[in-house]
Amino acid sequence: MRLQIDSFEAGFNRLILSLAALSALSIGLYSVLIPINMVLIKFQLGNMWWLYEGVEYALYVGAFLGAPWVLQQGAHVRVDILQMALPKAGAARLEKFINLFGAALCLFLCLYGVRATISEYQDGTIPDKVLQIENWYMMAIFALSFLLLAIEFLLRLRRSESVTETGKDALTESGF
Amino acid sequence: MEWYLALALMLGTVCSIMFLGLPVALAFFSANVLGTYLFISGDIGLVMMPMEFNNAIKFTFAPIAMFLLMGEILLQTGVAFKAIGAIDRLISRVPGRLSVVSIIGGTIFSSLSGSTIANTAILGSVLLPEMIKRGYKPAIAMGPIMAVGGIAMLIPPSALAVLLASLAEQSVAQLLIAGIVPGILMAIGFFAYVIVRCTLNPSLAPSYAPDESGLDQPVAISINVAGKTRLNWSYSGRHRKRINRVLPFLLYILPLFIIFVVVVGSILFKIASPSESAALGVLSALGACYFFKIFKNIIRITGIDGADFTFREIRKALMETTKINTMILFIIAGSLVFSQALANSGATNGLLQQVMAMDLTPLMVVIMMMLVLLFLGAFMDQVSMLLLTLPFFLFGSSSLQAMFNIDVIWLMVLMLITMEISLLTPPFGLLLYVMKGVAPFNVTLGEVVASALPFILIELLVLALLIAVPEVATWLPGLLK
Repeated sequence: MRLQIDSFEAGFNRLILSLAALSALSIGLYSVLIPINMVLIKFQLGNMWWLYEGVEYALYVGAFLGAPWVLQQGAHVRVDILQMALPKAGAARLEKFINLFGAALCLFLCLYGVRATISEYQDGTIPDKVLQIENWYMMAIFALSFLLLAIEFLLRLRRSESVTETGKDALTESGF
Repeated sequence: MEWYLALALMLGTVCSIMFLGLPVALAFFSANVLGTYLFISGDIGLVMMPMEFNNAIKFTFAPIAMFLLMGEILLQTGVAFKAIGAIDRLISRVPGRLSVVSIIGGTIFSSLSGSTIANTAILGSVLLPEMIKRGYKPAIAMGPIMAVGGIAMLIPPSALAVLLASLAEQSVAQLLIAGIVPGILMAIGFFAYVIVRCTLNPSLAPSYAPDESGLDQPVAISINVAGKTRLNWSYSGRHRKRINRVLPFLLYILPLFIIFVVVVGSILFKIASPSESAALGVLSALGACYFFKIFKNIIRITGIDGADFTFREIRKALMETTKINTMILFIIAGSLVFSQALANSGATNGLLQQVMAMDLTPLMVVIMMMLVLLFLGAFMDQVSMLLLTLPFFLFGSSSLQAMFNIDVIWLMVLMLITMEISLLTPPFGLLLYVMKGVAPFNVTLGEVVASALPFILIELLVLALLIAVPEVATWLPGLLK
């Protein structure tokens, strides 16, 4: 069983890394396309009419699909005052509780994401944009993101049995 | 439900879950679930909630990722560190020399990395040991490293300024430009303090002769093409020391300055929108790194190492950008829906009506907002405190800013400075703890606070000046209108 979970975790890590890499790729892509579009417009050579809304989709998809990897990297900002103040055993128990609570919350949001996906699919709604992608795709991404986040929280729970994470490193690495 | 109960419930949920240690974004999501269920049509509201997250992410947030990417490219290729080295070479015979280097270098590093917390951690572990080795007292060594973030948050490219203006649906360009004069004033204040204090009390930063043996070497330039040396030239005349001192500065700092000019100039002269200017900044950073790569392989000059610039560095820069950008966007998504739930619960309106009934002047309201930010900064990072307070301070026509008719650009500059000060405010200011953690010697929190205190006072002075003379911040963006 342990080996099966280990191999599942390895595959899961590859999946969330690939999704984060996709998000990274999109940032690189629009960083190049925006100046190209600017030049096209300035010299009246046409324009990429879909670009700004495409970037908007990319930001949403990138943020939600990149979130599980960011959680795994410990880079979501956390306030760790309580955890730092607790003795080691207490901090470990709190960490377990946080992971369980996080998993439950994400599963709950995933459930509502699935319901939103079905609802949008049945209604066939489309956004009020020029570049129209049916809403249910975006909702499916929401649901997938929270499913992956829930799995990551559960894997953290498993990992936290051996290592207690304080989150201090995350704070020094991320944020402004 | 009474507005104050709704407010206590919503803020209480976010804060208690945040303090338990769940990521800040998910603390907002938890409160959203509760708020949506209670105040926005129950179960149906929860089904509609995911769509609200989709609507929360707007194109106006795109410059954040690009400004972060610009900085990451320069960090991952090592250019940022080399720039600090070049500044170190250039500055000599100044009282508190290394503290001055840390102010200039820290400002560059902090603006490029987009993180004052990372800046304190990295410069604290890189520059501080050297300062202590040279006999610098902690009082003058630690303060500048922690304080420079205040300058970086004001001078473009400040990702926090972009975030603030985008969220408040205000002009990003005007806010970026508005930060320049206060940022320069703050830098002048820091320099003046270090130089005056070290002149009055030289034992704080004993003067020493920096190792300048490298400067005596002949200036050698060689051009290598396809593995063969095409040109080899050497100069060992009497100006070699000066050339060896100035050349690295020109080669390392000038391209960074060009990036700054591209970003600020394109906005100031209305050549580009903030997102276009950020994208141009990314391209300029790539160009600068390619320029430095030439000095690694093709052109060799004594004292110039060039930079590694391969696909590996770009990939790392992109992944690091994704990490921070995702973290920010995730919190934004959570908090924007949170502010809707707050508004629907009547909490926002109730609180604002209560403040209006207190018959306060706009100045008193501004000071109150600053005090709230200072208090919150003792516990949380800038993004979190910004998003927690924005529904009351800046969002829409029923915010304190709109109700008291406060100049929005001026207010946002004040908020940026206050948020930075709050990270240095005892007892819980995050930067104080980061510095205590990385300091290479046993330092008490009291010593860290004492070293930060003069710089906090300088920042407070700049804040007071801005409150007394708003034109300091509003004059430059006024030219944009």
